[in-house]
Amino acid sequence: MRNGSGEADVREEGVPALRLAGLRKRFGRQHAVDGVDLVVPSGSFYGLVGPNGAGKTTALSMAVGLLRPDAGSAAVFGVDVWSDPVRAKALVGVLPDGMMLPERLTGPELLHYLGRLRGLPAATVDARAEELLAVLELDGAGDTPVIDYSTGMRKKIGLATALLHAPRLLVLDEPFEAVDPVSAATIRTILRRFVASGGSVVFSSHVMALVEQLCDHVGVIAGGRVLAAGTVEAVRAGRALEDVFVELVGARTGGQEGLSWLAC
Amino acid sequence: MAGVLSGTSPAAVLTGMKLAVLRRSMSGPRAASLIAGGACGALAAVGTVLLGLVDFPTPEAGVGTVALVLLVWTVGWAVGPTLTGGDPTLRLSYFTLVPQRPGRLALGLLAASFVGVTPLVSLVAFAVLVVLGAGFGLLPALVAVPALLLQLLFVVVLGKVAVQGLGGVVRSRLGWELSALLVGLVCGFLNTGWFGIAFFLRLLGGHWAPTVGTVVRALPSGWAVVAVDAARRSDWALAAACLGGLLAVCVLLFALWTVLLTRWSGRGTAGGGRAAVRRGGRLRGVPDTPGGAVLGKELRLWARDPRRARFLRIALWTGLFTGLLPLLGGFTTVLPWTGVVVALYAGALGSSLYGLDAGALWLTLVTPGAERIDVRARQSAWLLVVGPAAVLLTVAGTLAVPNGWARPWLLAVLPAVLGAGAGLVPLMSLLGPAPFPDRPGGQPLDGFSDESGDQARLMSLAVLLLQLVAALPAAGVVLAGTLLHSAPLCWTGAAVGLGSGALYAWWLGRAARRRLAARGPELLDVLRKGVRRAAEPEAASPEEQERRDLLAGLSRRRTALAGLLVTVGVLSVAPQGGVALGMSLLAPENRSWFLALYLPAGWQVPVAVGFVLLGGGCFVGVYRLIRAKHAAERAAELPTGC
Repeated sequence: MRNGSGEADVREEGVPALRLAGLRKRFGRQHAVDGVDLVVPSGSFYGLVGPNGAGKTTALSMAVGLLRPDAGSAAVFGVDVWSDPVRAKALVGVLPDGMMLPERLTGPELLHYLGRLRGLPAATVDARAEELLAVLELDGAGDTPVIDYSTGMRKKIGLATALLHAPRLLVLDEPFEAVDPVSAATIRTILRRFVASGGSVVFSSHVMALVEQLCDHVGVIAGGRVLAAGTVEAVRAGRALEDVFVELVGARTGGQEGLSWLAC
Repeated sequence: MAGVLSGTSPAAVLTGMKLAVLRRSMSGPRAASLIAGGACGALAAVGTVLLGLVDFPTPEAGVGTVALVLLVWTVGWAVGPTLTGGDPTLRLSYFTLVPQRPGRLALGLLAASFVGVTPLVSLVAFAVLVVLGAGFGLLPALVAVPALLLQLLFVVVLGKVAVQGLGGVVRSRLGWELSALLVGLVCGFLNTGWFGIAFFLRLLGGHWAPTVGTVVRALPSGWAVVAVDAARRSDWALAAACLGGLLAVCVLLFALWTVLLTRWSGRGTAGGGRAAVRRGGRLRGVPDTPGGAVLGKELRLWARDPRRARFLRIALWTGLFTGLLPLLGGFTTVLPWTGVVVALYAGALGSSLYGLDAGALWLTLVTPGAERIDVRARQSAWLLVVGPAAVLLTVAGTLAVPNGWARPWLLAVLPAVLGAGAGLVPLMSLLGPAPFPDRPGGQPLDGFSDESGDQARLMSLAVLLLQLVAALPAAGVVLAGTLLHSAPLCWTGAAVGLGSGALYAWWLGRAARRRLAARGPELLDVLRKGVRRAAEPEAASPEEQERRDLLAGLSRRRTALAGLLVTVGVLSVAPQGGVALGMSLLAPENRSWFLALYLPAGWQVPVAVGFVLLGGGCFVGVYRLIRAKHAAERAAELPTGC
């Protein structure tokens, strides 16, 4: 699936697909990301897990150039995202959280416009767009503007925009959230194929089973810090990932006290 | 939630809620907008009250005049919310799930509507009834008190019905076309309606006067003053009938509003018109390049996005009414300028261009090197959409009114205004981003009443004024040519206009591209989260909060001052300065409200120029305030910056 986005000089072995070093971001009094170091090896399928508000979205936004970090650096295949954004951005496909789109364009129009903006030849864009829309089962909605899409369709067209320019690294924020099981299976298959053909994927999620099933690497993040990172096998050390996660995050499962007035 | 509203009166709860929201809104552009609006309203209200003290030839004339002015206030209440988008603090959608009978909810919302600047200003204005009644005697003055309260109740309920009714209408295609026409009519009237004032005066003073007098008395807006007048003549039956009738109208309107509310809450918040999309394919004539791709996207959005389409319609209607309304008074001078006015308003209304895409800016940010292409293509799209209409209207206007002197002026000013518009639209929407997310089932009026709306209105005003300023060099050359009676110099103005227009588009576009490239992530943050939430992260420490409160206090006073300066500046530069100057040269007999024209001939030009200078001084003041604010913010940031 990949060719054509000017990455000839970053193909050396051993350079991680994504390296975050000392990333920090503060919103007011809250340290959303408090010194995150993370290495996503080239060719890996990397799951970033953490509770709500752990800093996953903030960290991934800083990793792809959508949010300026207070400190630290992010590099894609050794290319610094903040000092050499043009080269870095050519290598990445992004699906941000709560993504907004030009709502009044149709799916095919959106892909055509984005592909051409990235400098792909018109024929290539249209061929790829057609294929992507067919694989993602969006080809029936060719005349529907994005504003009328369902949540799952929005995720899928977002994924199509991320794949269109054949990036070497995919950074996806909650790609499976609010997606029905059939669409989720489609997305999983596409991502597996992407990794099998040499691409790298980082995605955030709070569904442990999914990460366990899909990923070869996992990073656990909470309170803006990385608590554990490495291969899935190493992190879970023979136990269920969910148990390790609960232990690491130190969360107790709440919901037992109070609320007596809820009884009918 | 059920207990919250059923235990206590919804009126008290909702009034308290509105007060809390208002208290929290008193900062930034919100406060500036409230203060500027309140100041203008207070002026109008005081003017209305003073009307009660005027020594009219007959009491009937006084009553007729007051009835007419009350009609104007009433129309303002009915039309105003469609311009601003209704009450932003208590949206109906907040209460859809509250199990509350519509009548009680409506009563609560109505009570909350009396909280705010506008009802207060109206209360002051309607005090004209008491002032007028006091002139008639003690009993008319006493009758005026319930009349005043009923008048206020009437306009508030009418405003509710108007926004609820029109809000539904705006969802339909015809509805929003009509509402754009209405906005255009109001803007056009404010621009040049006073040229037609002679026509309206004839209407009031000529043989139509009795009819007009009867009509303004017969409409419910005039019943309060008729009651006061009836009390003067001791016609107690008529006085009682008027007040009772007004109360009945209020009750009927309230019932109608309750019905509208019920229907609305039954329909829910989703739905709304689906955008029809024709099988797109590629746009013909758009170059097949990256820039062409963005251009195609922009052109499609100008055609499909109801908010953008609404802006274009409003600009078009404003231009047309600005040119056509003076014809009522026999003035053809403005007609050739229709196209220029369209360009000015299309620029002003386009000043939230990037905000209309809201968080979709991320697509541009993740694309390598897309900033330049994006800005330039947006500029081209704006020019392609607005330019031909403006040029066509200018040509048509010039042909309709063959006064040759206007041509060099038009040729000089139009390209300068268009070029400046093309440059300012992306630049200002990036300097003061005001996000309006395009939500499924949303109304075109949504979002124009919150902080983003205030920001957008400030930016619109700025673009309008800057476009006018941008036309000055070219206009200056034509002026010099006119004064020196040199035809070649006059026509040089056209070249200067074209050159300066191209320069503005290129230079301002470059500034926009640089801003987007340098501050992309920060802009995205504002566009995603909204003006207020992004602007004010939580304070890191009590000390920082203290420093920030100090800064906010300072900036609140500064914002108020800036609002005042902008208002005085606009009034001085545009009507009292520029227009008065033009009028004193072209049509000094039509004095209207231009102070300079009431002076002896020799003083008119210097005084008008003085007004321009005063207004210029105001804008310099605003600029210095903004500079000082930025300096203070930088100083405050230093200790905490990383």
